[in-house]
Amino acid sequence: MNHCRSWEHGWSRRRMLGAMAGGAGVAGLGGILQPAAAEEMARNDKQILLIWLDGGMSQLESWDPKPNTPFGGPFRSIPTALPGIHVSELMPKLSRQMKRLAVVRSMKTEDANHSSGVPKILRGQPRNRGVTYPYLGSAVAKLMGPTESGLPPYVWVKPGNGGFIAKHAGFLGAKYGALALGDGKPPANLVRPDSISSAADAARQELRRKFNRQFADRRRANFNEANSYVYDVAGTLMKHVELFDEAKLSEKDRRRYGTHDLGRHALLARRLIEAGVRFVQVTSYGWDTHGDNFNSHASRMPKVDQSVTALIEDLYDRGLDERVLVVMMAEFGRTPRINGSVGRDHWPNAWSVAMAGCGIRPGTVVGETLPDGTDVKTTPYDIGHMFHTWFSAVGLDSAEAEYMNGTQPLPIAHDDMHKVDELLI
Amino acid sequence: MADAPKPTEKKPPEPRELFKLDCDRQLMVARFTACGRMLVAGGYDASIRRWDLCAEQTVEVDRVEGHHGWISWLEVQPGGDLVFSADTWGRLQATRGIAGTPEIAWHHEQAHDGWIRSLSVSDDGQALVTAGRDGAVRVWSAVDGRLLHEVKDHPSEVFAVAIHPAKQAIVTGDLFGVLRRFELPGGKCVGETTLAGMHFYKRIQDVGGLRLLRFHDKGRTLICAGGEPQATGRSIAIPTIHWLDWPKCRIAHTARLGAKNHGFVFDLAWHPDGFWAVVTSGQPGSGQFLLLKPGQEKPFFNSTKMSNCHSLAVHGDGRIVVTASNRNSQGNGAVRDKRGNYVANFSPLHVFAPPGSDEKPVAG
Amino acid sequence: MVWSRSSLMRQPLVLLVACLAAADGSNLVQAAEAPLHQVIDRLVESRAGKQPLAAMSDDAEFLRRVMLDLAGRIPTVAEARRFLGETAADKRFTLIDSLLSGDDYPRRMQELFHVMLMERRGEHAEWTKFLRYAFNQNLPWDRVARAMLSPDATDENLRGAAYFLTARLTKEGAMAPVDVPGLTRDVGRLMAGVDFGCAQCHDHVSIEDYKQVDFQGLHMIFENMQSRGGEFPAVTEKVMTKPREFKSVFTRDPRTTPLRIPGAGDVSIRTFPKGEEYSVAPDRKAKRTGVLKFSPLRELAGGLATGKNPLFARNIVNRLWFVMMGRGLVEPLDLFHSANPPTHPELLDRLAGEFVSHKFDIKWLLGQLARTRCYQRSSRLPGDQPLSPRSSYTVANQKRLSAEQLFWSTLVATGEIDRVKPATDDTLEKVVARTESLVELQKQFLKTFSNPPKEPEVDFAPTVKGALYLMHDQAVLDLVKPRPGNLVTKLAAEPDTGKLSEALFLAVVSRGPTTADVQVVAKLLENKTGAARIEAIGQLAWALLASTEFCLNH
Repeated sequence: MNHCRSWEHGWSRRRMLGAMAGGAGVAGLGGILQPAAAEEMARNDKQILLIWLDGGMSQLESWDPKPNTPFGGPFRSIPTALPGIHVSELMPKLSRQMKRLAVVRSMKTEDANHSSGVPKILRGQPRNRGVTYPYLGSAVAKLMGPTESGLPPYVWVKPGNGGFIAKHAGFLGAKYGALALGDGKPPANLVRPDSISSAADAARQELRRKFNRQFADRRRANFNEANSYVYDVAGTLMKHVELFDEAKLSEKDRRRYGTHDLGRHALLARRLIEAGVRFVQVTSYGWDTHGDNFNSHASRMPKVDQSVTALIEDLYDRGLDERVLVVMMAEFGRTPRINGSVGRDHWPNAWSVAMAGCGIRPGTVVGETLPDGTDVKTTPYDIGHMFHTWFSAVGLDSAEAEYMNGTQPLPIAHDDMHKVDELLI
Repeated sequence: MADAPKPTEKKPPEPRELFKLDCDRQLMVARFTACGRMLVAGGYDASIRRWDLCAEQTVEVDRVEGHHGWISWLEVQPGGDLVFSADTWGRLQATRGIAGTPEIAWHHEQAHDGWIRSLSVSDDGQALVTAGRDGAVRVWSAVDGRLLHEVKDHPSEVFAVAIHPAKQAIVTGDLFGVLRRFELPGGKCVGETTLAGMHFYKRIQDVGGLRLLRFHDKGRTLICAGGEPQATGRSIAIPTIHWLDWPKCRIAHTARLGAKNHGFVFDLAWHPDGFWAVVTSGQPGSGQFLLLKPGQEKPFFNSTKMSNCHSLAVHGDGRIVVTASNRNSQGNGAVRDKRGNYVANFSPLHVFAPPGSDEKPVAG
Repeated sequence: MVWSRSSLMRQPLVLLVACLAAADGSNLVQAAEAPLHQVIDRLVESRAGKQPLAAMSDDAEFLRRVMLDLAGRIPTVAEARRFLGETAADKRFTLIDSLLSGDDYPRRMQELFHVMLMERRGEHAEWTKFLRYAFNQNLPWDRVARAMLSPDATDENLRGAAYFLTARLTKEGAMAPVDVPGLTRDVGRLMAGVDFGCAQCHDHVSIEDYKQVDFQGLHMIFENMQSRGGEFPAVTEKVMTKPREFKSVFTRDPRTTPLRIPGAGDVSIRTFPKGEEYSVAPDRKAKRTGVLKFSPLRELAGGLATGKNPLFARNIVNRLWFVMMGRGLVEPLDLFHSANPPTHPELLDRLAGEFVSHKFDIKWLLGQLARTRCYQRSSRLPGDQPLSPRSSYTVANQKRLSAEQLFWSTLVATGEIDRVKPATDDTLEKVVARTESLVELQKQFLKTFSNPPKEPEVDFAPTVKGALYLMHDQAVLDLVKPRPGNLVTKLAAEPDTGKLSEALFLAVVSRGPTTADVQVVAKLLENKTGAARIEAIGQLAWALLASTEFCLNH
């Protein structure tokens, strides 16, 4: 087994130089260089919703079909609301939403491994400076902070286990990690037991804060800040406990989104966005269809079609498209070449990413692949281009803004790349 | 020199591979014509491929066009001249003269909306039934393609369908491992049986394990073949065949032909010498070509030399053809040949002598 | 001798190690001068230069810190009163020695090394037994390491050490292969302080010292080894006959390597005529693996876990320094290379040299570290000056508490131990083991406050999960309800606010209350009687339990 997770080739400079980079504390690392920009960002009410299709959804069975070609597979394509643009027959609902979406068909990245590719894509694969960059959610949590709601800025709705995933934050520090809600369930112990009245709770929390202030007096502040922060987040989450109350869901919503995992999680994501979480990620696992790719996509795509359409529709209905950026992607696409197990293998060479909402030019298709799907025909785009584009869409100047890693300024996206103007309003 | 003759265990005869044909595209199904002169196959390039077996050296001859997408199933009319083919876009076609100059006898461009997963011809060759992803189940006249019967409101996606020799019933197998019996005419559902294990669901994916339905023994037995899926996203399953009493649909015998990480039974056929020939395929490559005596669970012959086997047919003279995949068919990224071209996979066809035959492999 | 940064840069690992090895000999001469703890202070303070030093910790601060470090828990009220009331001038040194020879020490060390070496991969009774034995006997660290790297299945006390290897040879899932490269990497990280993770397929792209051959030569040892089933963890090795062939994915030149031990270099493979590879033949029937004449694991153990291996000595003293001082001299703890030198090179050299000459005696080293002024400094900042870096040790560093330390401390703080324990000499562990509610509480604490598996517990990483647990879990809330024998009951019986405050603060945060503290208590309890007063006392106890002060070592 190859243990070379080449994303680790970028070691944190702090790690490498050890003490030389200066005492980096636990929280409060990575300030932003220009204070003026920071103020602006604090007023920023934009949010991001990322739908992550882990394992690599096939572009040939979704956004970039090539029916009746050697590698096209069994499915047909269908026309969309955009003249001349077709998508796979497996996504009829999304085909009708095309006027709201922007799709890039000319993605070209280089890592065909999951274990290294997933972090690379989610980190925007910046230039290697020996620093572990944050995942997109952590980056946004840092660059934009929580919204006025005070809810944790990076929430991850995923199947399986939940918990706090500090390592997404890279050099930014544990505080900017993801609050993962396993199967969309609330964190354990979210609800205050009846044995404690809210007055009693308020009293004891006030005492706790008092004692912490005393402790922090004349001591290094970082640890107390980090500890106090998690209690603040806990308190804020408690105020929104209704987000996890299934009884509050309308039957109509449940049916529209679907009662399967992705549907339930996408519905929770919408509600988290509505409640003011800055960055919500929904992950769907199991897309790595090396075998039986076509039956697998035939089963999966309708769920994506259903849930993502419901999300788009709801965001537009609520006027949230003006301030919420939606991105749907995976770590790569799937090979045109169909293998002996009737499957497709990993394909970073030419794949698709879709987006909609805040700052994005709707009804756009950027880039083309060859008629047989075996390469990008037009200008290829890397994930760095996308990060520039998305940061720009939510009002960040990706060319100017920087992180501070101790005393080391770092660009927020790959400095050799740029935003894709065609994708932006 | 031994002092006394030692009793030797009689090893069951094994089929010897006679020769291999190369098809430049991947195939889903291959069949011998009723007259035995041709091998016909269909696959990922939507054309019916033909090989003339009577030439001195088996040679591929002209293709028959007309389909789109993939040819998903193909059957030969018993005792007749027609070859019926279905594709993943929904077209159903009957071709006559397949052994000579083929011409399309009839076709329906949209016999179904999308992937026709299964096609079954009645024993007398006069009717055929098709079903697929759209959930529609339709019975057609073999001669002219007239729609004879239709099942209305089948509730789910069909993976396999078969028509009873007496033509008074059809049976479907769906995505969830449920068998449904319909009486003809009328198309009314008269019973359901669930084959536990032939369905798997996790996260957002259903995996259907019931892939093949065949009537045998003049319709007294229904064969349900496929696999018991173990995971989503890949095709790992325990290859499984159930023999059911018809019409009660009670399991009389089950053969599980592999471990949990194998795959599905893709095709099977009865060999006139008295056994079943079966092929399986999984992911990564756990393909098997095996021969099984009725009532047994363990095959008397099992070759794993071919990595993925997708279909199998038995010739009137007892020879067996297996369509497989080329080796090393998997690979992430752009796998290129020596000249830098992006290579497609293809399907070698392996022709075997019947077990016990003295036929020697053909050179070249 | 102080190594300049530039002279350490760009030295391949092998050469670097050779240079450092030379340093050992000359430093040994200075050992006779002064006790190690004084040498440590001299080196730390001289490096700190003009940076202001924090004051020495007061007795309460010191007691809590050293008990957490050496006994794995806070002091009881009785222990606190006793120490604070002690007048002998050398009371701190006496305390240190009594903790090192006390009952809690082996348990604390077992818990500490379990987390460090296993990184929450799982538990095994044999492994626990091995660690407990090692610290009960104060086995030298090199011996402990050799037991892990070349397990001895015939020794009942030591055989569980194989769990270090076997726990890393489990399949992660049905389709996932066993992660032998992960095991190789961990041996490098945890035993030698070098992380070869990225050098499996090519020379490390950013760390000059780590070459692919370093990884491959170590990895081949573990590729040759397998977990052996049975009632206790055990491994078995095949006969090794040839060097490892490998290729860099970058250069694609084929190369070979014999065994290669971090810090020690190559070991040629000795081969024997067929049938003569064993000095003790394996016995299938008796399930004995036999003894190979050339055992790669034995070579590894001998070459790595020895005083002659500078990486080995530096790794352990760096980690023990980290435990006591809150920061490694090399950070991260597993990334020692020439472009990441120690903050105090001479100090690290000295520590390593002394540790080796004292035969890897962990108790001795911890005793020396605890005696330093460096360790005894307060964590209160000296004034309003700008913050000096944590690596200066001018101010004591705040440290994360492990889930285990939190658990034992919570039991002590809330008087739960008093509540369930009749007044005999049961150890803490025995008391918990026979009380179902406490076994469950321990499980919950470990689940809530541990990192996910394979994530080293180095940085302080508070979680929302932990906060909600302390806020809302019924078993935690019950700890601060009045129950016979526990803290809240005792406090409820104390009418005097001043005495109550003193008892409360001493119990939970191991110090006397400040004036401000007493005022807070008084204000809260003002005009409260009966149930309301008890509830308020419970709130005070909870607030201290949930405070930052309680959940850190400072």
